[in-house]
This record gives sequence, structure tokens and C-alpha cells, in this order.
Amino acid sequence: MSDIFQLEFMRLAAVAGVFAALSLGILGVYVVLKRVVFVGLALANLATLGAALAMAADWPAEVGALLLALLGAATLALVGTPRRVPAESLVGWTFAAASAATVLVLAVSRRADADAMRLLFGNVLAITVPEAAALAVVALVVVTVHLLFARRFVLVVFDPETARAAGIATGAWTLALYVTLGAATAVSVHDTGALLAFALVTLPAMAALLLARGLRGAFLLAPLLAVLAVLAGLVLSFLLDLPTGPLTVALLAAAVPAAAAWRHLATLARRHHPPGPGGSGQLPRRAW
Amino acid sequence: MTHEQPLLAFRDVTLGYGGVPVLRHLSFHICAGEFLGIVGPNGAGKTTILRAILGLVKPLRGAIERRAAPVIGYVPQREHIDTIVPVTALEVALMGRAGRLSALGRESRRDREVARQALARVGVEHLESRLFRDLSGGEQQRVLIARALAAEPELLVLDEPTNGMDLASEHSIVELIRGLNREAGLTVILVTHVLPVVLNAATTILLLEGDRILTGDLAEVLEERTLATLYRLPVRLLQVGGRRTLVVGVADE
Repeated sequence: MSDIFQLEFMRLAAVAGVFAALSLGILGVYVVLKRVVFVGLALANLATLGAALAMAADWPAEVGALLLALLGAATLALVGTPRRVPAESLVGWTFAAASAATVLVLAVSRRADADAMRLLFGNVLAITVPEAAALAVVALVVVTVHLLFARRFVLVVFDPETARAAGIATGAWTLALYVTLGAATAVSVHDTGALLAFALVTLPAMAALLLARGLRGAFLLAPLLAVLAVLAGLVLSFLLDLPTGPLTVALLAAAVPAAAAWRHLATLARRHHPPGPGGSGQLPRRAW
Repeated sequence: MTHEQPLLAFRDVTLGYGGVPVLRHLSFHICAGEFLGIVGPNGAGKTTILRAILGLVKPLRGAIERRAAPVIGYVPQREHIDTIVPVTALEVALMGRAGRLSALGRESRRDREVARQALARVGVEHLESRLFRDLSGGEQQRVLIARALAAEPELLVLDEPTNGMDLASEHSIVELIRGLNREAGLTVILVTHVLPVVLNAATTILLLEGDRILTGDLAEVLEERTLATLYRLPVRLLQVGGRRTLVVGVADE
């Protein structure tokens, strides 16, 4: 198996995949807990549109992807809840409009070639050194921001009203969360495709929240699962001659029911073998 | 009311949103050590007053005076907390220290000590490693009060702390808050839509009913005729076992 990573394109794919998995895995915990998983999908599609527009204008695709994803992230974070329609319908509108616009831009610019196919579906095996480096830098910045300010982000997600009452600028922190999500998604989408980027935001966090007992555990487990799935996806796709992105998504998707089954079995085992006195089991509920 | 400098004073305040007034000519104050009950039906403007106390809503007219920006411990409605987040009771209590830390600040040993003491003060220190979402409503409310106490506040502000609770839990929470006021000398503002919740705990009261606002010492405001006029219903105020209780809709014999 070590031969696989002798190949430069596999090494680059592994580096890019690991950095995308780290940043999106951590952000995914917030995205799932805030019930905004489709924001990840909408941002992935906006990044694809940005890349398509940039390619049509002969700009670097990453620049267009980053600009449009950041603009979309800021808009979705700052726009208030509409009175007549739920806020998530705006996310749906963004997804539909961005998807349609991407195909139209590619058709008008006559770029329906291999570049366009890579843009739409991603190809982690076609990553270049500058692309992998750009992804690594953005991912490191995002992970650092979230390690440094984790407590603020958690408080704003858990109880924004009390955070505001304590003088914390919740709007600014929500904006920071969405902007980091936009940046991490944009650089990942260009290399992995919208589907894998969306799966990396959503699925490892779901599995981690099912497996971990607390938030700290979920924040450790989600990026770990994402990294393992990316590496396993690369190796298996090479060995089985299957497309890497969809295979990685399939592995991540399988991890969720597996985590749910593990959680169920663990609960059953606790019921049948409750810890004795002094054990670490839950204390009886106190009746007030 | 006492004549010392108030901790917080509303001077002919008009409150509203987007320039549209919701409450007009609001004047009341709270001094250190008092227990103010803000009582009114849903939609009366209680939450707007509470948000103004917290500094989240600016008055359209009038002034809100604060004595040297008191540290406020805020206990929101439990329904506003997203319990899907898997945080432990201790982690929730530690959030009370957030206002005292910079954005980059890490909790110190003292912060953890203060949070643990706050949990012990409300009788839930044994639950510190339990997930907040796994606790009963009464336990969750105690943890939220502990979080507010962890801020080492001069003023404790509670929004409908007994909402959705059974009788025993309600009594237990009200007695806890009463104890914090009477024994620990903490100034308390409690917002509720149920008058009996504050009947035996508050020292001063602000009653909202339609466009009418009544405020003053509890003994002054809690007068059968005043309450009957306010609620447009016969109201009887009784003493049972040394405690006040209200009977509504029964005319005086």
C-alpha cells in the first residue's frame, strides 16, 4: 500500500484531502448543531459558480470561488429572518440559483470541457502543488481561528441571547463562523468538488455527535473521521479503480448508520450492565 | 422603596422596535438588595423591559440610569437554550465567566472554582459532569442560575424561570431565588406571567396589564381593589399559613 503514496498525484491528493477534512470536519460540528447543513451545500455551489465565472473571465478559479463563497457566507450570516418565509428558504434559493447559474455560465463561456467537468464534480487526483498549498494555508488559518476562539463560538451557538447580554458581539461571531465556513468550503470545492465538500461538512460531524459523549469529543472525532475517510477513499479508489470523491462520500455516509448502531448497542449494554456503586454511570435524577 | 441610589432606574422611558413604541412612560427603579417582580400577560412587553435592562434595547424616549454598570447575571427562558449542544453542567456554568474573559482568554483555575461553587450554591454540584440536555427541567434551571451566579453578579435577572414546571419544581426554584435575595443579599429582577410566582418573594412589583402599568412596594400594589381594577375581575388576597395567595373570580362575601 505504501507504493500508492509513492505517486506524486496521490501524495498531493492525500495532503489536500487531509487539510480539507480537518477544517470542514471541525466546522461541521457547528453546522450540524446550528441546523444549517444546507448552508454548507449552498456555499459549495456558490464557490463552484465563483470558479466558473472566474474561468470564463480567465481569472484563477480559486479566486472566484473564494470571493463568491465569502460574499454568500457574509450575506447568509447577516441577513435577518424574513417575516413571510423561513430563513432556510433563502439557503434553498441560493443553492438553486447558484447551481443553475454555474451550468449557464459554463454553457455561455463554452467551457464544457475537462476543466468544467472538474469544476462541477471535482477531481482530487488532479490537484497541483499550488492548489494543495492554497488549500493547506486556508485550512490551517480556519483551524487556528476555531482552536483559539472555540469557547466564544460554542457560547454563541448554545445561547446567543445570554452571550449578547454578557456583551459578546454575537453577530460578529456568527459572521466569523460563516466566513470561515465559506473560505474552507471554497478552497475545498475547487479541489474535491461540491459533493465531497458538502459531505465533509455534514457526515463526519453527524457520526461524531452520535459517538462522542460531549462536545470536546465531537470536535476531536469529527475531523479524525473525516481524515480517515479521505485516506481510505484514496487507497480504496486506487485499489478498486473507482472514482475517489463518490467512494469517499459513500464511506462517510456509511459511517453515520454505523455510529448510530454503535450508540444504540452501547446504550443497550449500559442498560444490561449498569455500573455499580462508585461507577461512572449517570446519577439518578433528583425529583424537585 | 428605599431612598438609596438605585442600582437601575427607568425615567419616563418609552420602549419599542423600529421606532414603534411598545411601552410608554415607564418609570421604576430597583435598589441593591431588592427583589423586583415584573408581571404581565404574554405580549405585555415584559421581555422588552428585560431586554432594555440588559442593554439590548435602547429607549426611544426617556433614560435608563445604571449605577456604575452593574454586573448582571442573566437567566434566559429555558426554551431559548438549544439543548442539542452536548455540553456538561460544569461547561454551562463556566459560560457565566465569558463576560469576564477576553475573546482569547482561557478559563483559569479560579474560574473553574467559581463555576463549581455556583453549582454547589444552587444544589447541583453532583451533576457537574452530566450533559445539560439529560437533566430534568428543574435541574436545568438550577444550572442556568448557577451560570448567572458564576458571573459574580450584582443583579440577577431571570426570565420566566418557572415556565413549564410542575408545582414542586416551581416552588423549589422560587425558594432558591428567594434565598439568594434574602440570605445572600443579591438584587433580583424576575419576569413572569404568573403573579403568584412572586407573591411571597418580591419586595417591589411592576404589573403590566393592557396599557396600564402599576409599580411600587408589593404591599402597596397587592391590594384587592387595585388588582380587581387592573384585571377587571374580582380578586381576593388571602393569607394561608403566613403566605399570601390569590383567588380570582370570587367576589367578596
